[in-house]
Amino acid sequence: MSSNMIMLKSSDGASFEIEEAAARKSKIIANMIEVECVDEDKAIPLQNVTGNILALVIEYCNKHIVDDDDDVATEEASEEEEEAKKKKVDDWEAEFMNSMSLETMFELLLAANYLNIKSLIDLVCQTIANNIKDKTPEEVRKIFSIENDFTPEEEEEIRKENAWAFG
Amino acid sequence: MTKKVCKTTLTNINDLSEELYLKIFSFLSTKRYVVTSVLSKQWKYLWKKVPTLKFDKSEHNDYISFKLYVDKSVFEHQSHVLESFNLKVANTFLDENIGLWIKTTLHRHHCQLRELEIDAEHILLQLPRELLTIKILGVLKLKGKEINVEAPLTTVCLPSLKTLHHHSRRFDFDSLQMLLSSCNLLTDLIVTRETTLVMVSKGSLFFEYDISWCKALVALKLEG
Repeated sequence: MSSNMIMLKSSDGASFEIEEAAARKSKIIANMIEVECVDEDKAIPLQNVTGNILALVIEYCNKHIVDDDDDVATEEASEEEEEAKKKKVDDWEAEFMNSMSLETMFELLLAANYLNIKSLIDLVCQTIANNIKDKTPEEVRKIFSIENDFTPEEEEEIRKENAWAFG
Repeated sequence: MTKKVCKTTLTNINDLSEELYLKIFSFLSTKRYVVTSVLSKQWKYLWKKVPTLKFDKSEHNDYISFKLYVDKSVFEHQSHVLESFNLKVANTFLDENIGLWIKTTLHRHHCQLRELEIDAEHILLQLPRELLTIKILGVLKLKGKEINVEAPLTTVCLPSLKTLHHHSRRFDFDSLQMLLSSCNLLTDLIVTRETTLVMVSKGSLFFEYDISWCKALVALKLEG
């Protein structure tokens, strides 16, 4: 396997080395590689991603590039093997997300969105959704830092209008 | 070595975009995300654009409130493309509305629906005809006491359909035959016919179907 390494540089100046195959999980980096925008001696600057978040992104990409390789190698795998493998990935992802605060999740989501890594966007969105699903509107406001700009009368009005939804 | 200048179109992102909020909500049931309408003025109508509709009777106390809920939501909801419509009404025996809910949803989204999953094992499903001509429909999973299509069914055109699960006690043979013979991309087909009679042995019922057209099929399961 070719192990072309490329360098990524976070907004706060930290450099990370990553296998090209893993970096290609990011569509935006893959595009840069396609159009030969990547200079071997220089790191790709990522102005919108801090070092601690980039480290998480790279951890995710490295993990999933290995899994993708497995997929190719074991195309004939039985259903049970497939399931066992999927469970392994799910467990890893649960563990990975479990270790993070909501704030970190938001930063990771922005980074995944900026770098265009679809599977990571889905994973983080799903985890945030799980985190807010049993919360009251007040709690959700706090989580998303939303200012309540309704007057009490207006809010009452909406609750009445949508009474079917608050039952 | 010449310096190559890379330009990315992305600038600073300080906040989650509307698109990302919608993505987060798409993992919640409709009941869970409709309540976001009280968060702020900006959020008042955001829920209507979430690209999924997901209803589960078990999240509601009674059928009346559930019915009102689905009636209202399908009528007010209008995303550009509806990624999925998911309706779960296990243990419910009332069956007047499901076809109408599907019809309204298709109408509101101009038939831009990618996935439909109905789980209603005790209910007669009367599917609207327009369901069977959705160009982008990729997944169709139906579970009902009986599955029929509004008559007269003249055209079936589901060029994107890859997954078809069809589970019922009784169904209309002609419409299923028409359905099966018009899906060239199908890779996952499960047809189950639940019966209280002795199991009909494999072959007597389903081998009448010619599926040689279905070159992409990788998983096929016929039961009952």
